[in-house]
Amino acid sequence: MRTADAIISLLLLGFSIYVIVGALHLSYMRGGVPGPGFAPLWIGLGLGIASAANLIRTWTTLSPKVSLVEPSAIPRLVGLAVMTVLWVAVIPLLGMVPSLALFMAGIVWMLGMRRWPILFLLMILVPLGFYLVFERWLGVPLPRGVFR
Amino acid sequence: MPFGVGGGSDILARNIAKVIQEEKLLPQPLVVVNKPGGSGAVGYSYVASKRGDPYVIATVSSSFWTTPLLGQSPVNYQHFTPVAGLVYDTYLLLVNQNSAIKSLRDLVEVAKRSPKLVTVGGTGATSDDAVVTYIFQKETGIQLNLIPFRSGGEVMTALLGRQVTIAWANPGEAIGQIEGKLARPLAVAAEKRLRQLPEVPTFKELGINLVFRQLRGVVMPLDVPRDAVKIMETALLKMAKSKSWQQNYVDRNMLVPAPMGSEEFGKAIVAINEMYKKVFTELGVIK
Amino acid sequence: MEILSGLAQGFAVAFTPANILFALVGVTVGQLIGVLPGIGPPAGVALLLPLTFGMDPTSAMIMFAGIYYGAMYGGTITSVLINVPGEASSVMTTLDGYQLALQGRAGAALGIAAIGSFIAGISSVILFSFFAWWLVRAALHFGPPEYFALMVLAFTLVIGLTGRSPLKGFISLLLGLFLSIVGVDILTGLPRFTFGQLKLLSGVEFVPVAMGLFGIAEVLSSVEEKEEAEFVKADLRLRNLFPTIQDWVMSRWAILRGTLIGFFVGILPGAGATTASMISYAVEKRLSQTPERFGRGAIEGVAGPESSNNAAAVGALIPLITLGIPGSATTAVMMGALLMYGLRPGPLLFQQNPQFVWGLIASMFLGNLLLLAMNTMFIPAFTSVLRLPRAILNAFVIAFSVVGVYSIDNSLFDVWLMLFFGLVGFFMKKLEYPAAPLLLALVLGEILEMSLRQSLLMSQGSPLIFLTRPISASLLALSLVTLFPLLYRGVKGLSLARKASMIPRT
Repeated sequence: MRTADAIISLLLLGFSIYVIVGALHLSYMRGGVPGPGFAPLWIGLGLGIASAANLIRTWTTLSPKVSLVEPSAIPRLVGLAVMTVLWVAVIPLLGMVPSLALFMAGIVWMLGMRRWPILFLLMILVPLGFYLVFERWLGVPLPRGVFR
Repeated sequence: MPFGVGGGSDILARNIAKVIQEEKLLPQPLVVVNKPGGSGAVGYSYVASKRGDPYVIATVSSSFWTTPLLGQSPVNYQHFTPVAGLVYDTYLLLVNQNSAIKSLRDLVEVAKRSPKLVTVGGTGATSDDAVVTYIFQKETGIQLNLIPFRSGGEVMTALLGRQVTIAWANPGEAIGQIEGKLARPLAVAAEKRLRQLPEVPTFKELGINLVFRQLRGVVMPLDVPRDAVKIMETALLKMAKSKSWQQNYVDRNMLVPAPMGSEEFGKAIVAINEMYKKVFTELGVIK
Repeated sequence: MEILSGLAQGFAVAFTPANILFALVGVTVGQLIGVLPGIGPPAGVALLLPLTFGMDPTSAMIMFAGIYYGAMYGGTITSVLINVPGEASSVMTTLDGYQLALQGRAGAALGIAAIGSFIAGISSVILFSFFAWWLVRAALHFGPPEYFALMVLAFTLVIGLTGRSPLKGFISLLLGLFLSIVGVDILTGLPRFTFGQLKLLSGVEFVPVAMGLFGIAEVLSSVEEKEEAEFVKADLRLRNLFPTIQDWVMSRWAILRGTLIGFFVGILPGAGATTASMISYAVEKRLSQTPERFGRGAIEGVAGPESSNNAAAVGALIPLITLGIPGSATTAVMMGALLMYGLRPGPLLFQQNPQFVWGLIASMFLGNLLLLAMNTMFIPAFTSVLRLPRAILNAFVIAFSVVGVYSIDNSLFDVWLMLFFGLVGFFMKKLEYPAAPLLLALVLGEILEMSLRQSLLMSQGSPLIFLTRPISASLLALSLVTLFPLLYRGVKGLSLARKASMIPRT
């Protein structure tokens, strides 16, 4: 927990430097009036000071020694994240509706629901429902993929 | 359609779809799809990427030129096939009804006496409002103080609340407030007086060489078969002649019809691009 | 008297069978649009637009207004049940609404939201009928300096929202401010921090960020918990499905304040329902005797913002109807529609088409009544979603969010943005960074920066403009006053913390 907190603070500190450098490329004042670089500079400075303070605090105060993420849950978490990212990545290829069918079945199976009739129903009904509501009724042009 | 719902381009696209369908000018109905983001950059890039696809068209408004010129879009007018020009929109210069400024001459006098005191409401620093303001200043030698707002609605509110002295607005946007005696038009940046506002003089009549026309039309991606462009061009020009189009779109939004075929529209596109390029260079927003 | 006879005339228009039907269609569609994440009221109105050609404009507008305020009711449902804000203006509802649902009190949250929305809706319509002109004139006094002062006040109120660690709350706030400046700077036309993405030129969209930080992050953290952990220790018996007398007593002032805040903020063209609900939440937390309950299921934290966004939806119609100025995306679409019917919204509308204006106003009484009935009747049906097995519900939330966010702009970029913020939100939650300040700053930050720069442009650089204008000066004074108890508590808290730090924590 403490290590994670410190790492995030370091990352934020690095990010604040990025913001400050970006802000310096924009003009701070323009004709006597705050320019586009005015707000980013102050935001960057504030972020830098706050994350530095937080970094110091992580070393000076004691915090409970628990791990950030429950170790037994890591496979499930990673699995969920990877599957979601995979799904969104293949949407342009397979189209929204077919890929959604695969995703539904896959994710529900992974999360521990193993009854085939239910999985099968979800694979059919959910994409059909989304198709009817979003594409037919709301007229959203959902990605078609290669099957068009 | 490279913009979100509710704006001028959206109204144009929806009217095209409506009239084409009503008059059965194309075998298939047109479907309006909004692809907003990045002042048109997202939508125009999307349409440009559909090279050779005869089923995609995009509406054109000033961002078609300004966003690429500002270096904020990977595609510019050269990535499209011009299809047809449809209408011109122009700008009115407005003051609050209770303003002490009664005419354009009053305005120029006040502004000459105290430079930068007169505030102008407009939408953004690289919008058409800014361009017209720039030309106006150059032609009269006065200095105004442009206050950019996020939308035309906010500009009008600022004018009615007397937060700004003058404001630019499309005639269609401002007619409600003019008729309701909340705002007063000083002049119009068109060639001729508007039919619906015959008492409002043009800048030209008042000796200021300011004509600004916002051209709206339709383009397609590159490499589309010639016949497809021809079919679309014919349909749009027929549409522009129809009564429903005149009544429901052109008159209500106080536009000037400007039907142009593909070739003529192509030339107009190049000319407008040069105009923006010149103004932006002078304004110092591009090098 | 004129107003009363106008209203009477309006009721005659609104209560024809056809118009009752259109009001019903409008609010039902609005409710659905509200439930679907991503799809908002502007898209809903645009969707029904082609169906209304050839219809009586009054009926069409009755339907459109129904969509607008119906969506405000609908957005609540997903916020409370699955922590996914169905509408941008329902984001604040997730903070306490979802916590209530976890405690098995989803019905109470939905019920109080429906009642609060109803009271807010009806009172706003009454205010609309009697004071529209007076109010809109007051709103016109709000120039950039006043917006700036209002935002300063809002931010001083937000400082109270920071949760357990003020430092982390502050960091979250700054991250939100950073996101608010991404995109093309309107005052100069220069792009800022767009990371080479075209989509970011127009800024970071609020809805994907909110859905990531709440909906997706919540799925991740629920997956982390033990596999068979019961989702909701809910007692879903009928008795528990409605708010109790105590809930009502705790919420009544929140509803009243939410209504007033929402209505006035709604009238301002630069603000809107989301801003209104955020200010309302911050005010409720600040005024509460027990601010520590907020974020852990405080019923007032649902009642205030929900009333506020409904009142704002009605308020937003005022500049459209009286001045002909669309103040929000939804009213802009409505204005386009009215033009297509040949009606020109503006100062003359009241005189030239009284039956239109009064018919619309009267229909809103009816519409709100219908929505109250629908929302209380269907609470059992809505809450039954919580009986779904956790695996299916989680999969459904992700699918729903992805497709919903895609539909905002038909763009997969927004989906990636949401997933990214889902991950960010998960770690923020783990490390106790509160998400609310980030979202508030994202919405309010843009107005804050812009109004500051506009004001200084107006005054040619002199900051005195904020003090010489009475409204902005009094708002700034008010912000100073709200800071005092905080400073006092801060000093006291600091000395307490010093004492506490000597005792090692376990």
